[in-house]
Amino acid sequence: MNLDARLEAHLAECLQALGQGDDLSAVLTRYPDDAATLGPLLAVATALPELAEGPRPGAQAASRREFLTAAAALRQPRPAWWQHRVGARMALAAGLAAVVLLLVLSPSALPGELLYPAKQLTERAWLAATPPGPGRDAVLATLRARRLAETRELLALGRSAAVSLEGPIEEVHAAAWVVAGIPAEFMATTNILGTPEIGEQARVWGHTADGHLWVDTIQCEPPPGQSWSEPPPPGAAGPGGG
Amino acid sequence: MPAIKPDLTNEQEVQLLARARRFELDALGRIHDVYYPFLYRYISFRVGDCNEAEDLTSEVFRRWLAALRSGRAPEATLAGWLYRVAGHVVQDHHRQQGRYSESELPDSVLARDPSSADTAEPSMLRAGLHQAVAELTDEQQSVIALRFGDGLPIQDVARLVGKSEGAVKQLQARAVAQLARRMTMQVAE
Repeated sequence: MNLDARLEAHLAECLQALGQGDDLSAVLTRYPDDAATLGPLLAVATALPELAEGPRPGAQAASRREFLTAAAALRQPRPAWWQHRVGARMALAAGLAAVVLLLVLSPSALPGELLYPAKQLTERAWLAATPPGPGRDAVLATLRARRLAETRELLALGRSAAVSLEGPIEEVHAAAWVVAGIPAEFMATTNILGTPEIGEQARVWGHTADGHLWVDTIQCEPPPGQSWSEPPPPGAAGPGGG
Repeated sequence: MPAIKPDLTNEQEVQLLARARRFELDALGRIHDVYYPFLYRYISFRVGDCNEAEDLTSEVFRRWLAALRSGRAPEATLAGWLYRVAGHVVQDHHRQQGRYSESELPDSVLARDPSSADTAEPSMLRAGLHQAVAELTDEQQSVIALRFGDGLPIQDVARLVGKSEGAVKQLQARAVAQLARRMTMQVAE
């Protein structure tokens, strides 16, 4: 049933009147010309409230019980703000503790060990934070001493690891030089740079195995006015700076 | 004129909702008490079966719990949110069930004259009307259900459906005309 705008407006007004409690016949008298059309429509409208039903006895209570049971199951208290803060602080403390542990343990780490990269990182940071001058020279001397100590320890333990070191040439033989008290033994592939002079510095890149230091590259101290070239083999750190 | 949430002021509702977000059971129970009748009447008017209406009404509250759990529940007033969810639940139900088919209706329903509604056998008239309501658009169903199922005034219906009062009156008039046409078709068939 398609209504024109006028009839639709009349129907809307009649529905409004019915909704306010007016009687159907009284409403229809307002629009006598349209009563024949509006009558059946309003009859349907007056029947519509018959479809309205309230909840059955017990149904609402049953729904309430089910609802509250589900709610209770979901009722896992969220962490309070202070718990969040404690959690964050604990995480921060754990992180700091891990860093401190690394800093404490890594200085004794040897090449090839898990914490050695942390040790190298710390040393690089130390070196980078030290401006050129006597202070930096002292840091470099410390790092050189560490490399020597590490190599000696690896040799004593008989472990295999890549090493680098720097020290004075104490003895020169065909198959080995002694650098800082450590025999640096040559292989067929050893790369020897420069001419050795007893008492001068030499840099060594190599690896330890079964109590021996095998040399990949050994470099003599350059003449005055020249600086060290940097030919370390892959995987080896510089003798001075980790 | 009936109200959506009798005996509950806006301020009280805000307080209840704050407690509900903390899953305080007495607040949740109170809100269930307040809104269940409104939702049930709206849904049962649209689906026409009390068992289904009970299930769907409970489903609306389950969805509210889920919204509370995820922090997406409204904080000021629930009426509009619950009404929208109820509408979605009914639509889903209609999609799953399919709308009324005429074969489900007894012949006696189809033989009734809609203008003699007052003399029609009540259960037959109800079944025919429910079929006709189910064939309205969702928007028309909502307006008719809120007006005649919940008995809400035009202003409240307009607020819930998000339309002007004039638009609601027009929707209502067209829905009634459509219902009358459907009932006439039932008689003719």
